[in-house]
Amino acid sequence: MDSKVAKKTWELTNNVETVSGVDEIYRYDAKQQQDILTAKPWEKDPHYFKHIKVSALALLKMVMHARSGGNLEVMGLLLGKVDGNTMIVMDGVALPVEGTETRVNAQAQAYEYMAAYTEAAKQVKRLENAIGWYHSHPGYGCWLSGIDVSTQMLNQQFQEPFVAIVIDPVRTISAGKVNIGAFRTYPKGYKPPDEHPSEYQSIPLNKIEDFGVHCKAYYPLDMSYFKSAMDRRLLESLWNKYWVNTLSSSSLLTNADYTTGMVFDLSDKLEQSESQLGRGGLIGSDAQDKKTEDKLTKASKDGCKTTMEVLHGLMSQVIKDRLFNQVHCKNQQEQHAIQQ
Amino acid sequence: MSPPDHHVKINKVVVHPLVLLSVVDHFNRMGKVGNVKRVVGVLLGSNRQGVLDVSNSFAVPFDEDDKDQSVWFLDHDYLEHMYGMFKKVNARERIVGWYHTGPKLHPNDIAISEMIRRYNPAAVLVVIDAKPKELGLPTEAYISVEEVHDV
Repeated sequence: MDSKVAKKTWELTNNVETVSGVDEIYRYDAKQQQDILTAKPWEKDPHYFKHIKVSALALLKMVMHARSGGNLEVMGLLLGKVDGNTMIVMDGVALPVEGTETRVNAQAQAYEYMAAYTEAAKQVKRLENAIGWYHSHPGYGCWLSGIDVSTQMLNQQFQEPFVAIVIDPVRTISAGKVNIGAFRTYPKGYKPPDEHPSEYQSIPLNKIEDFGVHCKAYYPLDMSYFKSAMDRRLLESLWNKYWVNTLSSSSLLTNADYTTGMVFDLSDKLEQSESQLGRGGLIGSDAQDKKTEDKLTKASKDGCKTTMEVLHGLMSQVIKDRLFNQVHCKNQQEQHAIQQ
Repeated sequence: MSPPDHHVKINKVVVHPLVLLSVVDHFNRMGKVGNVKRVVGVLLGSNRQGVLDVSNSFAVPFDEDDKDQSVWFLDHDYLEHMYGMFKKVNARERIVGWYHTGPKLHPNDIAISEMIRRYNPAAVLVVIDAKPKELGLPTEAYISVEEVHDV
C-alpha cells in the first residue's frame, strides 16, 4: 500500500502525465513495419484492409489543399503505416501536379517529388512511408472515376499497401461535415461478394456514367479520426477563442454557387427523365419505366438534400436573429417601461 | 511581378491552425516526455499590407548544445531544398519567418534569426508553445529590432 501512495505522491509532485493509449499510435516501430511489409497479408485477401484511421493533421492538410484548389482537382501523397487490417494515415503532402482527369497516371509526374519528400521527411523524424494518395472532386462527390480506378489498380500492384482517398471540399463546406472517402480497388477479374449498397450520394449528371461503370470495382474503407492529447488541447484553445467566427458565418452565402449548381443539375435530371417518360409511353416497355422511376426517386432524393441544406442555412439565420438581435430589443422595451 | 507589399512594416501576424497542428505534430514526433528539447522550423506565407499571413510551415533538422548556448546547427541545404519543393506546389508562399516551441526565448534566437533573415529581411519569430498551460493561444510573435545603445 505504501508504494502505491508513494507513487501517487511522486506523480503529483513531478507533474507526470500519463501517455494515453491514443498517443501510442504516433510511435513508429520500424521493425514491426518491416515485418508486416515482408509478410504481405493483403496479397491473399483482396478485402484485407477494412478500416482506416486518419490523423487530425492529415485531415486538415487534405481539406485545406483541396479547398485551395477551388474548382480544380488537386492531388497529394499520404504518409503512414499499417496495423493489422487497419491503414493509418499520419500525414499528407501536396503534389505539384496539374489537375486534370484525362491522364492515365497523373502521378508519374510527381514520383521524383514524392521520393525527395519522403527522404527529406525522414530527417525530421517523419519515418512513415507512402501509404496512399488523395485527390479532390470539387462538387461531384467521393468516388473513383475510371482513370482513378486504373491508377489505383496500378498502385495496388506495385506500391502495396496503398489506399486512395477522395475528398470533396465543396460539399464539405455546404454540408458542414467533411465529405471524404477511402477506397481500395479489387484486382482485375475479382468478383466481390454482393455487399449492401453504400451510402447514397448525389452524382451530377455529366459524371453519372463514369460513376456507374466503375462503382463495383472498388470498396470503401471504414474511416475514423484520431488526434494526440496535445492536438486536443490546441484545438480546444482555438475553439474557445474563435467560436464567435463560426457562429457568425452563414452557410447560405458561402455556398451560393454550389447550391445554384445543384439546382441546375436537378433540373437537367428531371428534363432527362421527362423525355424518357415520353418515349416510354410510345414504346410501352416495363423495363424502361422502372429505370425512369429509379431516376425520379434519385432526383427527388437530390432535391430533398439541397432543400435541407438551404433550410438549415435559413434556420440558423433566424435562430441567430432571435437570440442575439431580439434580446437587445427586449432590453430596450424593459428600459422604456422602467423609465416611464 | 513584384511581390505584394513586400516591404510594408508588419504590425499583425495571423497564424493558420494548420501551422499550429503541424508544429504540435512535429514536437510530438521528436518529443521525449519531460525533456524540453525544442523543435525548429520555417514559416511560409505572405505579407498583405502589414498583416503577415502565415499559412504553412515545415520542420528543419536543428540541434543545439545544452551546455553552450552559442553552439547550434540548422541545416540550410535542407531548408532550401524543402522550400523549393513547397514553392512548386504554391508559388505565392514565401519564407516569412521561423518558429520554435520554446516555451520561452533562448539566447541564440537572435543568431538563428539572422540566418533566416538571409531569406527574408523582415523575418519574424513565432514561439509556439506545444504544451500550453493557461487559457488563450499558445503563440507569441517576435520581430528583431536594432537597438543602438548609448554607452
